[in-house]
Amino acid sequence: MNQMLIKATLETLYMVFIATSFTVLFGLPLGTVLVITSKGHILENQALHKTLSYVVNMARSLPFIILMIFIIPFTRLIVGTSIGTNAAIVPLVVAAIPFFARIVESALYEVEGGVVEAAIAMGASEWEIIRQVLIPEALPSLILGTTITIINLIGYSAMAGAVGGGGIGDLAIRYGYHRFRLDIMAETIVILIVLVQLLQSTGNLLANSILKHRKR
Amino acid sequence: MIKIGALTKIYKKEDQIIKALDGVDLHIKKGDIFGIIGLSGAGKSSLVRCINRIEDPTSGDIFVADTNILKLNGKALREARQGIGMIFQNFNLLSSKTVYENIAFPLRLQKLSKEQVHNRVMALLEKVELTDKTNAYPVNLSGGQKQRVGIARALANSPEILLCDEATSALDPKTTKQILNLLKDISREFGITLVVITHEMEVIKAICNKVAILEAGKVLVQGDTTELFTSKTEEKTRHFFGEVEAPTCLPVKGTRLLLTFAKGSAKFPILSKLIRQFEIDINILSGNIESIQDEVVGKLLIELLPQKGLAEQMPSIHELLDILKSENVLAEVII
Repeated sequence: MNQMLIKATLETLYMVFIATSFTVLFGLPLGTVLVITSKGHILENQALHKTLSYVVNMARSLPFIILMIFIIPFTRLIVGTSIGTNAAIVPLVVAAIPFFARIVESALYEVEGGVVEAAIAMGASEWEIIRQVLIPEALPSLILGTTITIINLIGYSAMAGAVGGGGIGDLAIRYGYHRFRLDIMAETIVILIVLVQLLQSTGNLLANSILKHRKR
Repeated sequence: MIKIGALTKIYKKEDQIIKALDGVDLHIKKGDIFGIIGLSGAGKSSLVRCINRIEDPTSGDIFVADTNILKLNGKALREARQGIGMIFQNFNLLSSKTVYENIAFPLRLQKLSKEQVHNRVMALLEKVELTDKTNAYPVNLSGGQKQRVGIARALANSPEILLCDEATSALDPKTTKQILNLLKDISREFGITLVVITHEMEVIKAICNKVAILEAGKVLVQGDTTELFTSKTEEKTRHFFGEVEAPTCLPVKGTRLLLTFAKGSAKFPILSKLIRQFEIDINILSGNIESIQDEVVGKLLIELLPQKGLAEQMPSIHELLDILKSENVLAEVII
């Protein structure tokens, strides 16, 4: 029994970890492009900004469970199958990228325009402004935003379990729901609560330590 | 050093067309501390932002040294910007970096070696007297200290021009004085040309040898600061140069004269000499003495009372004005 729980937990952690990596890999640039192409920013491009913004909104308006089924052909194309832990990662990433991009966007908008202006005045290039001004200045907000995204992914991953993705959600449904094993249901809930608490505290700790450092 | 010709900037805001700059011509010489003063919305901020192209003008020319800065793009523009320092009203320091790293930022953009960066940063920290704050973060600095970091950062690449955008407007009077002295010092020591944007005449009086008044996107007047303060006041510029006015409760009893004491004449007792020589009665209504660019300039509003008897000894107004003029006192008949 315990082994089952451990296996399911590890599957969830695996899904969430890989999905988070890909989400940050694609979502951070997407969010950054959304910011720098906005009106009055360093690479203003209204057409690109509006198009990306529209696509992001579209992706975000789909409920995860529907998105997951809708993109099954795409999932097959990427991992060769539509069932299993690896297959669950694809819809997780697709759902989380636009969400994370919006979080990155709002974090980068918090960076004062004057600071960017100062960097331009010093002759910094667009890339130098992104790498050395925007991202470092917004780092605490970005860390907190990543934490929110990871916790969201845990929630999504439980749903992915419902369609054969494995993980804690899968366990809870198969044993806790179909076989009325309330004890297993309770255990999975405890594991989820502990996971989310741990993640949130770690995120807060990291962000605060950076902020505290800057106030020393 | 900087030649601005027919500079125009037009915004479109909703359906309104706003002329932020309307044919501005300015000539700023090397080593000048050139003040640009105007009320908010006069276009001075747009003007200074066009010099390093943080804003793009609609038309006109800006020559920095011999390069038309408006014709530059991409890398050439970034390199030109590295030769123009800028400091801001809100300092605009990077909160994620220490004082040291903030000053090192423009040097790192130049891809200087670690050692070169270190030497330059330490020299600058010494110049702005902040060596004890090397590893502090901006949030722990006072406004004056933040502006010192801003100045050090702006000077890092040894620019020939320093743009100051309301650099002291967020500071208290005492700190303002210290920062202005530092700027004056820097200009003298390194021969840097300063362009100072401000809405405070005190800043102009303290450090600017040249001044231009900007109103509604146009230059009302430009020239030597002390000359403008000591020459005949014109209606349109009067509220900038501070008119000496008589209290309205005093009835007019004679001829009122506004005297401007220039070229050191404020130090001499010219009025009492006149009174003794011609036995005239003079009523002093108001006045002040201030130092502009280390020169003492006095303004005095007096009333010449009509004389009883001894009419033959009484000089005419013209004679009086001539005598005053020979003493470097500019006199204008007000009433």
